[in-house]
Amino acid sequence: MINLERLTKTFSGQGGIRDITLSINEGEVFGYLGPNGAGKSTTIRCLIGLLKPERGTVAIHGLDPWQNPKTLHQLVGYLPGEVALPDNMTGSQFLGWMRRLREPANGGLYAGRLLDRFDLKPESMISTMSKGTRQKLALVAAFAHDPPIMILDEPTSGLDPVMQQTFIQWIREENSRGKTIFLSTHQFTEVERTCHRIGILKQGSLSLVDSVDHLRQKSRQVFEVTLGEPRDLRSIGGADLDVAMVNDRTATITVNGPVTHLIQQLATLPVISVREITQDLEQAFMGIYQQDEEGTE
Amino acid sequence: MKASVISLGWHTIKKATYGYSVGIAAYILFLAWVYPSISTNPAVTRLLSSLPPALLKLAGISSNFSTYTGYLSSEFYSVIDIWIIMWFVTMEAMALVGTPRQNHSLQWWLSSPISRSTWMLGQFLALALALVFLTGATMASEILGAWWFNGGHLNWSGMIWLNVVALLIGLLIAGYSMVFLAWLPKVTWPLTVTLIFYAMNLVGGMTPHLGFLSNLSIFGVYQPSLIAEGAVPTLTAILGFILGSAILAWFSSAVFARQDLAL
Repeated sequence: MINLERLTKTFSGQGGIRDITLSINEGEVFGYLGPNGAGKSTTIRCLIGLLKPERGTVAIHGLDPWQNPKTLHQLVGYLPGEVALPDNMTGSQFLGWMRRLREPANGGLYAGRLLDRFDLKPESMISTMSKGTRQKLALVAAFAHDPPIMILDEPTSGLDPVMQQTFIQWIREENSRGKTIFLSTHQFTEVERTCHRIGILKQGSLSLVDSVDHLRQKSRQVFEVTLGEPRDLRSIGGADLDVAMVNDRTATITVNGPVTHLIQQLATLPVISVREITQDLEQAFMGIYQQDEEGTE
Repeated sequence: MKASVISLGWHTIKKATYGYSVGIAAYILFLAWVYPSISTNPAVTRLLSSLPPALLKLAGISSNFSTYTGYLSSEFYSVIDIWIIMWFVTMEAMALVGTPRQNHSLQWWLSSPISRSTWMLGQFLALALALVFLTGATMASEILGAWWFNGGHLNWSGMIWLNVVALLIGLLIAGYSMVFLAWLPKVTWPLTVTLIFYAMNLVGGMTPHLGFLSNLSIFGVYQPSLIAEGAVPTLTAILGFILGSAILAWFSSAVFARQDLAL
């Protein structure tokens, strides 16, 4: 559905992306993560046909966004990261213009449903709208034509927690209707609850692509170990074990390598319980990212 | 070309177009109202005859106040009309292309199924439409002025040609403004180039040995007092302006289609 092959786009100063190869399947929700300046928006701008790739190829449904933006934009809805709406009109007028430019696609009915969903009343002038209302208007405008492919660059920035939940629920529903969704975000809960796979971008290069479930599994494992008698567990620490005492009988042990080493060490101790502490994706991401940084240095 | 692209452009600049039109109409009607007292006042004729010809040329003032169109060619078309057109076209081209590029609101229109070249041509056509509207308002107010205050006496040919030439110049300015804005979204370039053309015409007109500068300027063909007296531009010049505007509009769409847009 979405294919990037050695996609490269650099700028004369700094930044950009290098050799991004990625394939997103139909009906998949893909999360695109990375710190600021990593190249997430550059990738998305190449996907939408705003930037011409320097090298490599981009294809959505087999169409090159730079060569065929007109055809492609009938299939794609794009929510920009930096929402800049035209200030010289009301929200209703803006939605009306978007509908007219997209004709003959009929987005009236679906747009109405989105307005209800996000509790948006678009009659006022855009210049007087709050950041959250503008973000909601942008969401409705971007997807009012009910496109099969949705590309979203930090979609929940500016939304309140209730609307963020509404958004997550809506993304899941759209995905269950078979839509393919490419989501760039900093919100880990968003990724955890919506994405099938994620890609982590670092300094313009894709450092990891994996499924959310697998990423959780293969990330650093953390255990809480309790002994039957007081003992300093720090003595069992090694290169791949980080031990932090909770009290004189209990410690949390982070395993950075194979778990067998920990099992061997614990076999000699009066252990009464071992409990795995589940990491959320944010912790997993930070762990992977730090490992990656250490590896680079 | 989708009509909605032109409509969107028109929506962006229609308030400014109406504002300029009302201003022009009010000014022309005022001039028409005072014309009968000026045309019969020998002091005005004496004053104009006493002024140095170079100064009159610089200000674009004709000493021929005996006809209503000749009077308007001095008092309105020679300086004010052309300055209005210069300012209107460069500023509204900025509103159509430069501002949406700079504030990134262009991302919305370009994420719809509209090609960039279509969008750019649509903005040019919207600006051309606004110029036609402005020209129409100018002509209508001149006709009304003649009808209400001057017994319906009007040099139709002179009035039409004055407005046609001003419109053609406006279209050419619109063409190269679009090229600059398609390339770099900066307001100063179109206006700077237009002022350079204007200055070239002014210097060429005042200094005989630099007369070639007038021929190089787009304002060289704009001689309101002569046009009012029947000296219309050649067909080559008219076709040159029309063709030049069309080529520049096409070129702006070609440039814009190849631009990286970090929106």
